[in-house]
Amino acid sequence: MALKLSLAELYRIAHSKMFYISLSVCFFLVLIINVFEVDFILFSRLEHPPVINLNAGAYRIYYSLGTAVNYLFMLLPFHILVYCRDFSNKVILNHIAGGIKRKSYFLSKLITINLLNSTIYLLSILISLAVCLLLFGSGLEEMASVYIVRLIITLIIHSMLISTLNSVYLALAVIIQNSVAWVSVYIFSIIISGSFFIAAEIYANKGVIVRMFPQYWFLASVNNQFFKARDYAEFLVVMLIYNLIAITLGLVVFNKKDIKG
Amino acid sequence: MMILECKNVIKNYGKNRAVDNVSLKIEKGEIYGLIGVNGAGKSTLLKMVLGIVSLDEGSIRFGDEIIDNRVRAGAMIEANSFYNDQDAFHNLKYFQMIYGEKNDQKIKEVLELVGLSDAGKKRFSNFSLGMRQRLGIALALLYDSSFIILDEPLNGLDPLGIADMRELIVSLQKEKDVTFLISSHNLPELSQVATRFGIMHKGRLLKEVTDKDLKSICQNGQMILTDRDDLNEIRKMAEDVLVVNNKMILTETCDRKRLYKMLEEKGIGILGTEAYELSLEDYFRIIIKRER
Repeated sequence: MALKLSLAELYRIAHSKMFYISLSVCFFLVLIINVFEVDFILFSRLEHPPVINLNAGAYRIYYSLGTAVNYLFMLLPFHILVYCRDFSNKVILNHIAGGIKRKSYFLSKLITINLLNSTIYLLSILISLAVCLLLFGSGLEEMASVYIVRLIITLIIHSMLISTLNSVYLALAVIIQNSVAWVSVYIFSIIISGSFFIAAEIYANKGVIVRMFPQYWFLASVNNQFFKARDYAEFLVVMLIYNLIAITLGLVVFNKKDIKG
Repeated sequence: MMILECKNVIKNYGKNRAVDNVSLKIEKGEIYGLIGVNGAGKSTLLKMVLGIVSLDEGSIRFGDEIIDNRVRAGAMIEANSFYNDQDAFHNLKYFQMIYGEKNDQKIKEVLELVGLSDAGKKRFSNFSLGMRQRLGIALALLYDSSFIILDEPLNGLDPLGIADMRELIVSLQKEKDVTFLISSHNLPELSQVATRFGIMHKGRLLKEVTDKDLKSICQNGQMILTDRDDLNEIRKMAEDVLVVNNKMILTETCDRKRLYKMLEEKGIGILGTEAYELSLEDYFRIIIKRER
């Protein structure tokens, strides 16, 4: 049932104007950010022999992606599109009244939002790479292998991060059941997350999971080039644990909660 | 054959009891009309039946299955429960896809049946309230359910739309043996389609009556003309009498002896009595008044 519901969701999203508008805005922003960043390198290095090649471009992309927070802002419309409007438009009443189990509903939304956000994220990276190729016109052979590895690792880390946040925000949505309140929480959490995690890090000596999450979020968000392979693995495991906790919590609360309407 | 059974159902919202120990049974082929004032608990009861709201106590059974394994019932619980940026067809298509069905013809038929075949590409956000209601009904019909639950299906419909809806409900019941559970404020309309009525007030199911019994009760009503224009005292004292200006409307079960004694004590003269056919609304008001 969850898969069928996900397919139906994708069908609905494909017929939604809001999706294409959000997608265009998202990609436009990605392009603007990257083009400006590339320009910045170009101009900042004019006094010295410029490094105008794909290597520098790839490095900039990898570096700009370091701030995952930017992406969370860009992905906001897709959260609204996939599940938030179910509560504002009360469509969820039709789902539940139609006999769809809450577990299936939750899982289908989770599948859809992960599929959508991961695709958009990866597409935006590809677009950025394409822009770099166009701007610098160099062949792939010029890209230093270290940056490719870092880029791939960043992609994996961010995908896991986005997936975990998708679970957290979906769990929040089914608990709050109010789209306006949810959007407020979303934006607020993005804004304060940096400070929160830094603050949390100061007190983070009591437990491995508590300690690791803020630490790695902060590192991954700001600068992940100092990571070691073991750190990446630990980060992914911690993210997975957080992901599972959010899914379980969301499912348990949603199963017991009345639907507002 | 039993389609739905609610047994001692209770729902509390904080300290407020929204549904108070309600028990009812709906048999196959019935059109059960749930009536009551705002806040009587009708919608909460329907939402509990549909699994939208949880039960605090009691049980709800669909046929032989308890609610957790409930069979799919067609339902229109809230007219605005669709995606605003989709047209009628795509909204229904979405719900059809959830159940793994692919039958565009069926969607077109259902839209035709509820009079939305001309809606075309118009988005749901641009629908009138009547159109929204119709789409809600269309969704209920889309599932080919043998049991359809409708919460205020006549809200926002124009007189023609109401007549169409009435005909649709009756034809589905007669031709396809569909069972209905309908809550509505529109008592005159509901009285034309329902085969049984449940009167709810303050969360309790006060009375259940079949259309035949109701007809008999209503036909045997009586009107008493008095010599007073102001019968406020009687209105307050006689709980099973409806007072309209200088007239009193009562059912056959009314304690006449007590009423006449009351009139005598107050010095109110009777100008005459005549047979009066009560409407469902009159009957409903009397039942509610008794409870107050």
